[in-house]
Amino acid sequence: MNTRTREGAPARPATAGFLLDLGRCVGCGACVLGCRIENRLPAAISWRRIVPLNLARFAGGPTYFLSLACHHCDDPPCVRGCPSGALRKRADGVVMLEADLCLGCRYCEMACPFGAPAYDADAGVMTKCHLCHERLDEGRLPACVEACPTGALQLGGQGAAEPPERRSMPAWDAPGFVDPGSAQPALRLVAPSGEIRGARFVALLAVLAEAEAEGKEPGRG
Amino acid sequence: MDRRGRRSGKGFHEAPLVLFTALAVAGAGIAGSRILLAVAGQGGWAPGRWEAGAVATFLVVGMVASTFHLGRPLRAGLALRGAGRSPLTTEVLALGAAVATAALAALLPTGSALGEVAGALLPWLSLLVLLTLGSVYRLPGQVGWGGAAAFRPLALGLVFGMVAQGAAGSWIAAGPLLFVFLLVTLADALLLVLHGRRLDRVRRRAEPSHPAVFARRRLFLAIRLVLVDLAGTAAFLLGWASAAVVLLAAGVLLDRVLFYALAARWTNEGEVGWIERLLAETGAR
Repeated sequence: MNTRTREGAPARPATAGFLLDLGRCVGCGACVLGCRIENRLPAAISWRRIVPLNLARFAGGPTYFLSLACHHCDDPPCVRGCPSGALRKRADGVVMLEADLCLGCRYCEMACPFGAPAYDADAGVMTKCHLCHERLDEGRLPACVEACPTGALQLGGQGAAEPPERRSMPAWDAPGFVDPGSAQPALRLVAPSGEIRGARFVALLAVLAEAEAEGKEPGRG
Repeated sequence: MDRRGRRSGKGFHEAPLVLFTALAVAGAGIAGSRILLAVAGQGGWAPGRWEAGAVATFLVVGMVASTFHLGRPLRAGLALRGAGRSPLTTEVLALGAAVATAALAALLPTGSALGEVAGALLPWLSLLVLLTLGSVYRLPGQVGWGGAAAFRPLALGLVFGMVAQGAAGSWIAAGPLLFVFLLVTLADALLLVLHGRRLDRVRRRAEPSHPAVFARRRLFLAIRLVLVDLAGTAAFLLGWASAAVVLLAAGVLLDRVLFYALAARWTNEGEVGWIERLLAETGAR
């Protein structure tokens, strides 16, 4: 459980972002729902999504869920490309979109490899996760973090204090995560722990390293 | 929405961009190819008034068409705020400068000093337009558009421009300029082949914007190659200039459709799909 909301204001990291514990996320979708309710998102738009890995339980591979939203990257491609300056990165690391300046050109949608900006066809502008910055300013957690029943999703960008048992890694080190533009997403992940899950995660890393080295091409694609 | 909660992206919302880039490639190609003609000693640098008028019309209609892609067309002027930072703004500025010079060259009376300066600048600004068109889509996540693909508007524009100039009687397909024309056509074909090979390489992990077109990419790219670099060029060399222009125009349009239809991104979904296929094969052994 996220006890930090009960005990007081969350310790705000120097560069805001999310932390996801792959061993705790069960893919329930509460974070997606929490975000949708908090931000009153229309039916066609979702700022957070869950990408399951190895849902078919292929032998030797771990099964886990990547709960993904905007990663509030250190060098966000969306901000770099935005022609109107509607997108900007705040000093605290939050990547903000100012709807009044947005042209709806969808260039950020094309630039972001993580599918974070979503086009609102009715309003004619882009929308995206703003890390519930108003809640943060009030000392509360983002809605998705607060909604997470297992404590898998946390506020934990760079500079965040982490319990020793939760040593996290940058998201791009995890199988299933890509950072093609070297955007340096602020998302950090905690690898699955335990004898079986942890071992499978490490085994998958080895398989992927071998496939990368061989330039392995799966049969279909 | 699809099963992962993202917009499914049905339809082809890039249609206004196809029209815009097709007209920009054609218009800027006509004026830009003047540089090749002038270097080879066939005609001056400055395009004639009809030519500048045609270029201005192509670019203005293209720019107007592009605003139909915007969710908020009335805010189009805000695109200038990204000067020095956004490639999209650089493209808009290059286009604006090319339109202004083309309009001046077309509307000012012959012999006007300003008109002559505008005429002399137009080919170079057109070249800049062709370069910025490509640079806009050099996005790290868009693997289908990277590498050689960024230079395809330049090569295609010059091929179209030279054929259009030839059809208008600005040059004859002979001597060193014929060699230059064949070289530019070869470059266009080579860039297209490189783009196709890039798409082959990235398909295992990329997520195509339009999977049905992506699956038949080799057929479509072959049709594009035939239209521009084989049939169009052959028709021009055989003296069927009007037929060549029609074939080239169809080729430019198809090229632009394919450019957007073959967009492919590296995404978490694509990466997960690749890992799952790998696991399935590893487990099956």
